[in-house]
Amino acid sequence: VTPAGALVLVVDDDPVFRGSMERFLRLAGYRARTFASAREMLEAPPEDGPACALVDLRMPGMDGLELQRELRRIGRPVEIVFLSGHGGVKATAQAMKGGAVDFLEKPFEESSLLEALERALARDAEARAEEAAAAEARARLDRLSPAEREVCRLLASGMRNKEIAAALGKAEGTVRVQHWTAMSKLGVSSPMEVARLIELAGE
Amino acid sequence: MNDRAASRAAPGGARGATPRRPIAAALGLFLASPAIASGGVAAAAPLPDAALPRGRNAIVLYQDTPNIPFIYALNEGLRRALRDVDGLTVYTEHLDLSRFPDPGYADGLRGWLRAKYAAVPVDVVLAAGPPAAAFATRPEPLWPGVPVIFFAVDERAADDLASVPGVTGLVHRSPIGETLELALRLLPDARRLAIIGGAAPTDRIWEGPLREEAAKLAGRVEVVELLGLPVPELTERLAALPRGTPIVGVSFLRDGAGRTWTGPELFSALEPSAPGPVFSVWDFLVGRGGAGGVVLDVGRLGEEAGRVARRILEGEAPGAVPVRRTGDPHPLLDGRILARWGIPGSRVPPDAEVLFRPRPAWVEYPRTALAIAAALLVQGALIAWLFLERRRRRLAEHAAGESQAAVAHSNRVASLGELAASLAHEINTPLASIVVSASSMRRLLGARPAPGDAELRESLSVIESEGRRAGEVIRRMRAVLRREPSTSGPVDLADVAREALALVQPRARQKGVEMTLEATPGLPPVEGDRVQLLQVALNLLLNALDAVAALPPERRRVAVGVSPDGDAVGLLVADAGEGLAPAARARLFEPFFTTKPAGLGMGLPIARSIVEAHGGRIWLEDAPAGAVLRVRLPAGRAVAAAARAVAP
Repeated sequence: VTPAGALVLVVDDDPVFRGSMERFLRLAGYRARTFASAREMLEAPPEDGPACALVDLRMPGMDGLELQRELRRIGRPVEIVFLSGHGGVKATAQAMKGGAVDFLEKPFEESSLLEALERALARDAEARAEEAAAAEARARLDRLSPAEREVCRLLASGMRNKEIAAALGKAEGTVRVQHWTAMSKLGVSSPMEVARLIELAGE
Repeated sequence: MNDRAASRAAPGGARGATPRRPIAAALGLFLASPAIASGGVAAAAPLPDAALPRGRNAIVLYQDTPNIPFIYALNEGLRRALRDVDGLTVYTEHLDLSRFPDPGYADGLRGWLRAKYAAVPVDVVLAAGPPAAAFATRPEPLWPGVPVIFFAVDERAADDLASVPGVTGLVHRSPIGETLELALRLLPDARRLAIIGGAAPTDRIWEGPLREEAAKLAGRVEVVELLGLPVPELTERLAALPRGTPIVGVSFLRDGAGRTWTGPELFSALEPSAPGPVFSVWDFLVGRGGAGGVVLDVGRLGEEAGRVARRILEGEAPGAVPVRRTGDPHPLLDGRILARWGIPGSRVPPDAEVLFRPRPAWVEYPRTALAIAAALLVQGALIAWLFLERRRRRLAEHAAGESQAAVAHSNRVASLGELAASLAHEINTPLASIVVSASSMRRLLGARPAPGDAELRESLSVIESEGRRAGEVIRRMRAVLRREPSTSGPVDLADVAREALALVQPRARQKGVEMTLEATPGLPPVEGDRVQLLQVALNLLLNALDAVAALPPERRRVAVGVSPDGDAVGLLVADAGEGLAPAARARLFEPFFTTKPAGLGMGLPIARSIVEAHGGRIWLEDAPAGAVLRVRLPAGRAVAAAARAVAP
């Protein structure tokens, strides 16, 4: 994975460290935005391209773990690499449980930082791809009429046309037509693919 | 003897408490004024005399005023010996003969004293110092027929005092030669030695003996004579001497310009310019600015004179009490002054008493200027760590004996851990900035190749790797300070030894001690608490380090080994130090037994309790030289429960 202008958010209360990180990230091919506190980051407009965050664990006001929780609460998924001046076992465990990508103790090696960023961005890309796939699946499913949607739901659960007709109290012919129309609207050719689309859409 | 009978006839008047008080008070007032120096005749100093049936009187003549420490010390000793003699009144006269050597003054003073004590039946006269002894006996006895005891008289100055009938006394031999030898033993690299002395007649008495003893050093050092000079000139001449030149003096009551000096005054005047410690032969100068020497206990001189006086007061004839040599020369030194001049304890003779021994500097300031800020920070952190660690251990050791204090103790340790955490945070963030900035610079370099790049690249990688190393030190420090519950797991003893070595390495470098580690590769792990085992290794290494730190460089070596030992793993720490006396060997693992001046004696007992809790053994091995401590820990056995029972 090449950085290619991916955005790295740096959240640290130490201004010199922020400046050093910003320069380094730029030279390493990333874009960087720095924030002096968790609050500042939360108030900034959310990023829309590939991004991840380097967050100091210990900051005055809201600390790194609280920021992690807050981001999840407001549904703004950011992959986080935590930084710490003093690794505590408890804090590390908590951060990892909260879904952190990695935990680096200051001063860290350049290679471990780059490697952590790569993993964070890969996870971010994955999440973005998943999100895109879900959006696309939802858009496709939206093309169906309510009746076709119902038929697809039952198809996805493994029922045949006959069973669906019985379950819905419809004629088997009607179900067969709706089945066919739905498949062509969704652009799929088997009930298995229908099931996958529904799953992707998270419905 | 007529006057004696007469005064006995009116004892109440002479000795009753009530009538004398106004006199004493008047004298006190007189003495409190600056007139004290003009007369030099000081107060009667009566001992407790509540309603005595039978009173006797002693007069003590001191050559000098009581503000001179020598005289003060003599008087203290004398009073100790005479304190409980029933019915004795002691009158003390300070003749001030050193400052006023004029014979006319002495004659007048004699008449004055005779008049003063006309009504007092004198039973014994004590005369301190050669001039006072002469004053009391020559040209004729001051109080005819009254026994005279002289004391504080060097036998070199005693001449024929003892031949006068009715006169006895005590002489001593001032240990000048011994003091000169001691000075050279303590400063063996000195090329010169200065002898100093004052210009008063009493001072001049010592010039001969000083020169004579110093002459015996011919060939070993050049003796610089600085006798009878004004103090400003003396300081100038001393300042011109090379650093490390010992100074020896015996008497300095008055300088060449006629100014009077006491020992402490002189020491503080000389201190800024003195090229070395000032040695003397009097014990009371130690603690007042003198370095010490082979000294006489001046208080004892007074005390022994008091005892002779008692014998005479109890009826012995002065002729029956022969002149005796007294004083008990012994080496006595001021540890602070030894430290100031960098004199190691190994040069101090074993029989010497060292007062004010300075505590060994656990917290030594780094001498080398460090090239980059990161290293400076680390040094600071390390010093802080050493201090915290020592404090923590002390707290822990005390708490071991006081189970009630256990709760308070764990609180304190917890707060130290907190402190270490914020310290780590404060240091590691700038370190991270340094390392990251170095990485940035290296990237910039890559973009624009230019001459000198290789060196720049190398410097940057030093900054990066050293910054990380500094972070590593702090991480280890945290690991030691962190008080997490005792855990058990496989521990690589070689790893523990390496870590302990890394922790003491800065201290070892500072003391010039070479520490080596040899570990057999592929050792089986032992089962236990890593931090506790680290503490064992640290204790052993620090002991070994202290044992060799003061030795010559070629012996400042400590070897650490980790090797298989049957079905166990062995840790060995060997130093090239002095080793241990048999008595010390037997008590080595006893709590509170220590051979270090400021040791607490808990390091090895704690190490032993940890090792034993891990199912192992620790012992001192017989070695031809130095001390060899061995630890044997069983490999990979479950000793977790036992380890948990021990609190480090």
